[in-house]
Amino acid sequence: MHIELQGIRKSFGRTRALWDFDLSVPPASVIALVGENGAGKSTLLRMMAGICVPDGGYLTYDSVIFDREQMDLRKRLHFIPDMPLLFPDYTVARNISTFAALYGKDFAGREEEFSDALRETGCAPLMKRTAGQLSRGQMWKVGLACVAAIGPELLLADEPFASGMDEMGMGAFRRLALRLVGGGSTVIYTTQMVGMAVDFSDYVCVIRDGRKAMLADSASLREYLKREPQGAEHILRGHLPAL
Amino acid sequence: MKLHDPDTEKELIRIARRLAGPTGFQKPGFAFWIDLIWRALAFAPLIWLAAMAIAATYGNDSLIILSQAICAILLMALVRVGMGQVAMSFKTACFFGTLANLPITGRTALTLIRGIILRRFWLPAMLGSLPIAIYLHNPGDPGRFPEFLATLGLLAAIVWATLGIIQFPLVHRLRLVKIWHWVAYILIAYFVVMYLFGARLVTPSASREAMESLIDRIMWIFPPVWVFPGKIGNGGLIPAVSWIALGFWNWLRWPASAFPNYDRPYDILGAFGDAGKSRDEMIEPEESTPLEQTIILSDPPTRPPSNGWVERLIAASIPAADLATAGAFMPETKHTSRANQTMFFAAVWLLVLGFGKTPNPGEQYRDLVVFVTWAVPSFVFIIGLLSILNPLKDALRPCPVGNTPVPFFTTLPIPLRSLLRLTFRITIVRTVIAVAIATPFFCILAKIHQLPEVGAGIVAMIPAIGAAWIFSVPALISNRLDPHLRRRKGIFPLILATSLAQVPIGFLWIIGSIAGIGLSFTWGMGGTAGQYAFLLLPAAIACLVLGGIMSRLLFETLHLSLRQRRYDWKSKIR
Repeated sequence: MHIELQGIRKSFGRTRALWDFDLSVPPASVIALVGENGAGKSTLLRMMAGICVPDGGYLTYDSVIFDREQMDLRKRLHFIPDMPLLFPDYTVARNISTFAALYGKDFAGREEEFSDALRETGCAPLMKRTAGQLSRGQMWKVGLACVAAIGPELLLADEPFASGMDEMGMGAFRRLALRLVGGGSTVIYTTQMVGMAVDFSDYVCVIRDGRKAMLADSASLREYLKREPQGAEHILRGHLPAL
Repeated sequence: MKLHDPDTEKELIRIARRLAGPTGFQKPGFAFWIDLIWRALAFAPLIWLAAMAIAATYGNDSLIILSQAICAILLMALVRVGMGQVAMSFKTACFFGTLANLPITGRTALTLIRGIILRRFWLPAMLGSLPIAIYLHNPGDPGRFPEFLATLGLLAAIVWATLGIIQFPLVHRLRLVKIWHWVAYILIAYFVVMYLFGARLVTPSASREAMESLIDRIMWIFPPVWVFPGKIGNGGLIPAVSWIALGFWNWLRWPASAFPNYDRPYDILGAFGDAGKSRDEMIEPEESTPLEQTIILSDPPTRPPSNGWVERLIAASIPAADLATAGAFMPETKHTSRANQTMFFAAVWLLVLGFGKTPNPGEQYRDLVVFVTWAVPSFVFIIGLLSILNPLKDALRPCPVGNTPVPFFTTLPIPLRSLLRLTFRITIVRTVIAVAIATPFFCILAKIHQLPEVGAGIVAMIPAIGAAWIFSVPALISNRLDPHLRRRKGIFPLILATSLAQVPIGFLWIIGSIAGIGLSFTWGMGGTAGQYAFLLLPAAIACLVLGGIMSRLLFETLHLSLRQRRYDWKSKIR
């Protein structure tokens, strides 16, 4: 999926959440959106999921201007908020099958792949539990199992590394993201942890005061962080390196 | 008991007052008093209805016994309200950690909760007892004023004590609350039948007297009755005083007795009927094994519920493209059992009215009887058959995304149009069933009451109301979406236009309804009156159709605005 953002603007009252934001997302890659609290990362993800709309500028998927009511486009992407939304009264199994049905996906021919995902996320023992009883980390794991069932072309994840998941869950997220990317999908996630973003992404996009401050490949940023011990803070504060 | 130091609080307020500036503190508002007035008003019609019902059927001798029974039932309903408050306060403290998060002992926390419960309940207890005491005595008579005051105090105390005694595990095991409820339900059912048919159902006065004597004895099961006039001097005093003492003693030891449940909230809530599952089930749900993977893989895709004939009809009417959405958001409500129960009720109502003698309670109460005979089934049909609430309300459940709640369905690939289609189909099926049941029912009812012109009118009116209900669905959905949308700048004219569009829709419905009612009556009258039907029929149809078109236009405008990215999804309700 070719994702293009041009001159995106979004204000909430007098607060500018995003301002003249341009981004061309390289296909089949993992992109980390990095920024301080309130930089506009989550607003950008919500906009890409169609929940909020830009005041100005364009967001296009495969050169088509996106709005949430276009189901052919909407079914190609999936959004996991910082607290994954599940049907609280349904069991985990019912939740996953409901998500798959809503995205028009079935499990035929994907049993092995999906079993791996269940094993990796540790969701298998939770299958008969009601989603409303799960802890935050467990809900994230179920959210990841839903992603595995859906197999979206674009995965938008809000703060997966601050999700309350244990190391197994975060490992499952990484493997799932890489598997999606391997299949030609794009994964965009937000984080405030620069080191984590550099370690696990192909590109890092730094957002500062609602503007794109930098888009760099992880390899060069990794080099910078090795050279500069305070590099992560510098990046967040806007003292950007010349790469 | 207070956790804080009042002097510190005063000092804090003194400092804050200095800092608050010339405008001072914000005013607390009238919410508390408005709530209080609302509660008091809610009670008034109940008592009035009960009194009217008794007066309509019985002579003065029976009135005393039956009115007392109804007063007792009302007071026991007040106890039920109090039980809900106890459960809610306990839930707040235990579940949400309000008090558990403070460095205080569990017993101190429960003492605080008890204080909150009692403070919240004393006013409803007094307010509920006041009209009953007024009804039982005549405070306007100076000679009876002390009796009135004593009854008021005793009633409030006994209601309060009952709430305290219910907390006893023994009372819970004896199922005393259930016994009270069932006795109350049976008595109410008896009163309704008596009210409708009066002396004609139980003709021999001896049988009636025996029945009244039985009710008089049964009433002793309700504690408030012990302090009613005529009872307190006939053996009611000792049980009443003992009950009040026991209740207050139980309130005193409540923190200690409730403490073992402080970290086990499900146990105590079970006593109030709030817990569907046992604690063990909730805390240690059945663990599944990795084998469950195969269960999910072999699970069919989610389908709308199809456990009854109404559900099957609804499922059959839903287009294939919307089945998954219906499966996700159509709650497993008991459409079929509701429809069956309503049909059963209709049959019983007709049988009773058909085989019983025509109600003739006297001229002065005739209107009331006719009103009840028609209003009760209308109410039952509306509640049992029509989808008053949005059948897909879960789709609009606000869910937090970051700090911003959004309707659940917006995070999923579900188009708004799909929600409209589903709501539309569900409404159509349920309305058609409602019309199919209600039309013959009311026609038969009109026949029993020998009102042929009304019967003829019903044939036209009920389907018209059904059609109007179906046509209004798009406007209702647009209206329901309103709290979930945040308008962007520059669309004020559009908002104004759509808001104003609702006014003509309302007018069209009203004009159409008036024309429809007029049409139905002229149709029934026949003769010269029938000629007006030629004017009224097109008027009614035109209003109905125009209203439907405008309702749909309203939705389409909203949908187009969404497509043009004029709104953000943001629920106002968290």
